Amino acid sequence: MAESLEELRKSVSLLKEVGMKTRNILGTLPAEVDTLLDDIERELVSLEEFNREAKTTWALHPRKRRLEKQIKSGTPKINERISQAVHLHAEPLRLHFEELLKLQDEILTFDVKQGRKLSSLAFPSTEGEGAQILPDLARFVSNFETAYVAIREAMIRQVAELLEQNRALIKTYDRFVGIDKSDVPISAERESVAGFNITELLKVRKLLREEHDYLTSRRGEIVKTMQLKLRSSIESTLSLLETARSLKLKVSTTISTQLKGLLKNITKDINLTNLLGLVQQYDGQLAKASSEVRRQLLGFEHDLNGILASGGISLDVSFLPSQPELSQDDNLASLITRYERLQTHQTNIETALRRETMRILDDLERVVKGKEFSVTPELAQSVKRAKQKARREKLKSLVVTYSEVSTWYRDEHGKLLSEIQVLEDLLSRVSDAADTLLDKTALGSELPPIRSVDLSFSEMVKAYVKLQKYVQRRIDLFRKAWERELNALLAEIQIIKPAYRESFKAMEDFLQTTIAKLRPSTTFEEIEVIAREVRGDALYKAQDSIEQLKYRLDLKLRLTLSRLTKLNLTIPPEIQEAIQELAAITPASETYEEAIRKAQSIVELFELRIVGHLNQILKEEVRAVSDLIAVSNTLGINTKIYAKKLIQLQEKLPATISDIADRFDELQLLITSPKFLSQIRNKGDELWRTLSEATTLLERYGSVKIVENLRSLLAKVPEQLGTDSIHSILEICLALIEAQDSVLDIIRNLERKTHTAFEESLETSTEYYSTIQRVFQTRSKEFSEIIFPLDALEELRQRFSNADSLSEAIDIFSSIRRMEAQWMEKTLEIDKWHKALRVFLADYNPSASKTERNRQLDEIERRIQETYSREDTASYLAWAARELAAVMEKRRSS
Amino acid sequence: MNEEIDEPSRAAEVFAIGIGECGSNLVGAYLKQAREQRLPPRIRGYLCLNTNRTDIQKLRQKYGIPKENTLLYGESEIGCGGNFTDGYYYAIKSKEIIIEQLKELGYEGVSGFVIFTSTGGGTGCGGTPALIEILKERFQEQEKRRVFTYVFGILPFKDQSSEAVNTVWALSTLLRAQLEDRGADLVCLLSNRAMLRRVLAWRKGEVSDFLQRQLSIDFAKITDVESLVPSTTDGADAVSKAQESAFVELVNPLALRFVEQMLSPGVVEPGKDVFPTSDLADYARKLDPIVVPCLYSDVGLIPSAGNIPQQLRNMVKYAVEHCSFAEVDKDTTASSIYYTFSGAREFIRAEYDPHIKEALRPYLAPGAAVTPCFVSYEDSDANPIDFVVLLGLPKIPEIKDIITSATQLVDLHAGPSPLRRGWFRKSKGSSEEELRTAIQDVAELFGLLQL
Repeated sequence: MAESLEELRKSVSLLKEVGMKTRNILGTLPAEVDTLLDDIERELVSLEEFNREAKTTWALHPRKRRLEKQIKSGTPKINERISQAVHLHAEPLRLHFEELLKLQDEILTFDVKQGRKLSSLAFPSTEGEGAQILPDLARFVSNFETAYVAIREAMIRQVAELLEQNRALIKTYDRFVGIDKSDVPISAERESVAGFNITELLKVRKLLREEHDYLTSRRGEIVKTMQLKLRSSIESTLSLLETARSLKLKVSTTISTQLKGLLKNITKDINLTNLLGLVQQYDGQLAKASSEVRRQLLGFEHDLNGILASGGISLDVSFLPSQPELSQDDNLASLITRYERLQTHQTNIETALRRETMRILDDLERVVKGKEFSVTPELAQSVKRAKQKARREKLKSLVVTYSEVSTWYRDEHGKLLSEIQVLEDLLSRVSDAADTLLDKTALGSELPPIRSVDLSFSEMVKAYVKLQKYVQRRIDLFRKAWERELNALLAEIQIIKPAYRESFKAMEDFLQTTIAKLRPSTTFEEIEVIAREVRGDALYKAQDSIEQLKYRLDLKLRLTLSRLTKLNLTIPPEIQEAIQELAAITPASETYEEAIRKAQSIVELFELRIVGHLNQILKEEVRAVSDLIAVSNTLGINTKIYAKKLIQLQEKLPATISDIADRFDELQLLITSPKFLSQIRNKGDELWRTLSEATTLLERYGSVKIVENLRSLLAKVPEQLGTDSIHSILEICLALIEAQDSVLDIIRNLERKTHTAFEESLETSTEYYSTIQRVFQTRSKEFSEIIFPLDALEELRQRFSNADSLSEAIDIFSSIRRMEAQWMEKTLEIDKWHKALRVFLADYNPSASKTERNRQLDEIERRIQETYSREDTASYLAWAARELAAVMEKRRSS
Repeated sequence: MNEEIDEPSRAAEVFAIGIGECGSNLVGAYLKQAREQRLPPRIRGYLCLNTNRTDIQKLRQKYGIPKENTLLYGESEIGCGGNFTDGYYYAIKSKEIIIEQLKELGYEGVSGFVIFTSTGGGTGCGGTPALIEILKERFQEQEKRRVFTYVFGILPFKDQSSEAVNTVWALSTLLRAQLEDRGADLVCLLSNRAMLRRVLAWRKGEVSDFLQRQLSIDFAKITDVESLVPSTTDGADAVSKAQESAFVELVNPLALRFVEQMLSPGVVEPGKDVFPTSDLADYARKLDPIVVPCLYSDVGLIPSAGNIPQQLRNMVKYAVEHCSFAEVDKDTTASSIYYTFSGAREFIRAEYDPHIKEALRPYLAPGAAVTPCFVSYEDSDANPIDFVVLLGLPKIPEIKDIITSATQLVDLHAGPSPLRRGWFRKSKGSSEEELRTAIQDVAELFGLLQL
């Protein structure tokens, strides 16, 4: 069994070899061949595995038997598959072999030896099992492959050579006349014939031969065209060489000679090969000419850049023209054009550089002539010379001149900038000094001239001059500002009243001297020195002055306060506080201004908060005493003498702090007079009595709150009148007067309300009150006599409204109420009488004639008189009837 | 205490019915004037009947009367157009719904009905006799209980001949039914014209801007009331109707106020004395079937001013001549008089009766009876003096005018032409004979036969 497997392995190896060679011949094999070979290999490997396992397995083990069984059954299957594979190889091989035999003659034209060898081969029998056929097949395949490969290689060589020839012709034709590629597709498109089998190679060779024939047939036509083209090219190149020479390019004359020689060789009967030779020569001369021109072009470029670089001029400076756009093509024509453009560019650079040099020189010349800025003494001559040179110089020396001129410019410009910087520094110092030394003044917001890079040197000089003036103006301004400040400080001292200014005399003198010193100063340094000096000295002097001032004021204050304390005048806390503040002020100050402010605040404190306050207290005291006198006067007390004294006091205005103390003394004497106090007490007693009466009345009308307040006030009266203090006595009298006025108002108001309420109650309680009123208005006298004395009630009301004393008002008020009650009773009675009127008026006709109406009214009156015996009833009804008739009549007529 | 007082007052309650536009308006106007729309004491409820839907809707809207207090009946819903026969039969045919509605409103147990109507309209004139028939049948025949029916009839204005015919027919029908105990127990005649004159006269001396506000008329300038109140049926324009409506507003509440006075003696109140005791039945029994009421409210009696007899004479004269609800002749000879004198006890004294009777004498036919009733109150402030007089069959000039107008209209349509005579059937649903008999009845009753 093992042997069988080994044989199978051999067969498979052989099969693989056959397969490989067959593939070399045929190129490809059917796809199932590969699948089949894979299956065979896999199954064989599996069986070999079983076989190895079976060998190591114990002989009696059932596994061994199973493995052997599987090997046994697997072997025929593999054999069967090998047979399939052999046939699958053999069949296409046989067919191809037979096909080649048919092409035997053609094959022999390539390789006789191998051709014969091939025809001597016989295809083996394919009858029987694969394993048996396989060795013969393998041998055949081996021989077949050897012959096949040799023949094919010989064929490829030959066909490739043919293809190459065709392609060379196509290329030549294409250069001179152009050719339609579709006429020679194989030659035009194919670059190689590798990979073709023998059959395919035979077919390709045939086609290439046909295309070769075609190309050869067009040769005459091609030669003619080529002649024309070559001639034209040579002539064109000769012309270009002439141009180059005119541009001063050096091109060797042999080239032209050679080219002219070529022209002569282009004869009518020249063949293609010779013609191609001429073409080759022409190409050589052309390359040579191009090379010469290229070399000179690069040299030119290098020289130009070198010249500019030597003068330190960068190619990208703005005044130079920009580099022309140059073609990068390497043919002769492009190179010559490029050279020509570079020449023009060099001329442009020269012009630009001259212009720039002249511009700088002109600028420098303007500054020299302007004499506003001090330049190097020789500069004027140098500029003149340089200008003469620059006008005619060529690029190389012009670059040198430009470089020289630029240096002068840079140097002078640098000097100017330094000068400007000096001015700017000074300006900055002036500003700083103004900021630190000036307190009250700002120098203003004028902008300095601006240093600009866009300015030319001469413009820059003008700006520099302006800046100089500007700086001087600022210095002057600073001096004036400083003078103003000193004057302001002086003025501040002078605000202090002359009485206090004595302490500041030394200070004033110092400031005035300084101002005198400052006026003629013009330089900033001088002014600054004076200013700083003032700042230092003024402070010390001011502090001394404050010390003196404080001492003087303190002395005056102590003397006055001791007098006022003796008058029992309490020094108010505000003054105490101000005195303490005054004492707390120290002369030490940070600045002069602060010292002056302190001095001012000391004076202010003394004047306003101490003297001013004492004066205020005095005024209030005078006003209070004046009020006391005025109040006493309103109480009916003769106060003429006291008022006169007070006026005298008011007229004598206190000049000093000690004057104030004198006035307080005099006021005290005025308000403690015993006669004055007695008069006020008597008046208080009288007020107490009247208000007691009013309280009783108000109590009756339910004014509980008011009564309560009044009683509380009246209770205080005896005690307060008994004191010796005029304030206390007048206070209670004033309260009583105020209460009296309020009570009078209350009673007036009460009367108004009571009256209104009464009238309303009349209107609501009675139905005919409006008629009653009209009757009274028409016949008030008779009405008052017969019906009710309404006139008297009206008179009482009038008296009440005119009453200005509380006691009178109280009396009339009570009388009015009594009469109102009686009138209400009467009105209700009259109201009942009224109902009877309808009966009497029933027949009255308001539209009748006047006579008739009068007659009717007389009749009505007669009937009324007949019906009622009481005079008041009868009279009232008669009057009311006439009143109502009049109303009806009035309404009718309206 | 309240229980004791309420019991008798409930026993003598009446029910108010307004029939037709005029009757309904009388009830509505009173309710509108009365505080919180309350009826007078002893009037248990009210119902307004009409055959015209529009009138009913207007009534509800104008006076705020609830739907349940109104009833639309009849066949057309557009009224009777002055045809009293239609008015009569519409009511008769609607007997069940009328009774049902009254029942809903709680009429059971009332002692009487006060019916307000115009005598000249179709619905009221024809419907009132029918309504009385229905009520009498319901109570007297079914319940065997006597109820009193008082009719307050508003007389038409002058020269309204069609209304005059209706008035004559209504009075005749009501009185003839009375003979069979199926008619009204008392018919009070009220005249819009007279009542308006009263209102204007009473207010003469007082400030009243009612008319001025309503119609821009100053009543002090009014001399002839007729010129102010045009006819409502003989082609009146919108302005005239508005004018009349304004006057009606003024006078309508008077009718129910009078009923309030009539019922007052029967109302038991604390501190109130009535002498002699009197109630509804007395009016029916002691007075002639047709009466004219007079109401003098808030009498001005001043005992302290002396001469009481003279003051009472003035009062009586003023009441009859200036406060009657229909004009009566100054030399009227009433067949019966019933007066009520009420007010605070200090004024209402039985010893004044001879003076009052003496003062009434000029207005009485020889032999005619005067029945007094004194109602006094303890509280003098809340009770003003009121003097009410009911004149039985007095001489009423307006009745004379009505009979003349009615006769002229009947004569106009009488004659041999059957086409002309067709008017009686068409307009009134009646015949010439029937109308002439009615004219004869009324003329005879008021002693006006010579016409």
